[in-house]
Amino acid sequence: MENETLIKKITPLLQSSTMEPKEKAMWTLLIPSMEKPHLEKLLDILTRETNAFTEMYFDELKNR
Amino acid sequence: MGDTNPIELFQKARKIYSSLFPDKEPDTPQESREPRKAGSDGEKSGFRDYLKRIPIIGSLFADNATKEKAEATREGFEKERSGFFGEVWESVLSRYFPNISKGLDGLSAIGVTKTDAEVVPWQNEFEAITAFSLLVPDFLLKYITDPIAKSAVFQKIIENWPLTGDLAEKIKKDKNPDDVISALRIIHQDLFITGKVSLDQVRAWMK
Repeated sequence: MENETLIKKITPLLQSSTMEPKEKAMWTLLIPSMEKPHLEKLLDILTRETNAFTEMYFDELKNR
Repeated sequence: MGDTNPIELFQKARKIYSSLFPDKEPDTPQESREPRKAGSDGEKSGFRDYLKRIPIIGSLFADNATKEKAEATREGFEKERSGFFGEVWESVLSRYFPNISKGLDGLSAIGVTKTDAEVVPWQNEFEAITAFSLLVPDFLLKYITDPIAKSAVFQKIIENWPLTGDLAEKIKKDKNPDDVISALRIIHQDLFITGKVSLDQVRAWMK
């Protein structure tokens, strides 16, 4: 994946992350300067976090 | 995923309400259409019902077990990002630090900003990093301040700088990010705003 594609995938995931707004702003500023392996790793962390919270939410709904 | 239907959820919430408060049935639609008497017990009990429902709705969507699980998950990912940030910062710094001045010079040349001549070498780079540090959350700040605190140049400067109290010793001993940022702010103020310390003094210390 090209850096631009990775950044386009990371940006919306940053907004849905549980990190504080200050950290979101920091990553938003950093990502254009990050190298591809780091962008891929950040995308992986954010994807797993979003999936974990989505699963937790649906599990909670199913258990009610 | 029938259980996610909002109507079914509401019905379940209603059952939970009834099981928790068996002596008080929730209002039926017919009852809710009847006007309550102002200032009467009816109005008060309506408000009490409302207050009772708040924790029920809260517990429906986030009980303690879920809250704890969510908190543990959040902390887990925070740790992952924390370990990863040092690597990212080092990479960004090594590629962009030497170019910050060039970038600022470029902006100055086309009239976007006016950059004053550097009083000390690397002034623009350090100021850019100090400015960026304002956006770094506390749990990540050490990745920015640790390399500064460990730097021989910085240690030499704070040894000689008229810092208040034992700030220099504390930085050498603990490398607390807040102390490093405080020292940087004092140095910046003394050098560029009040002129309490001159560049000639700094040069003399570095010989």
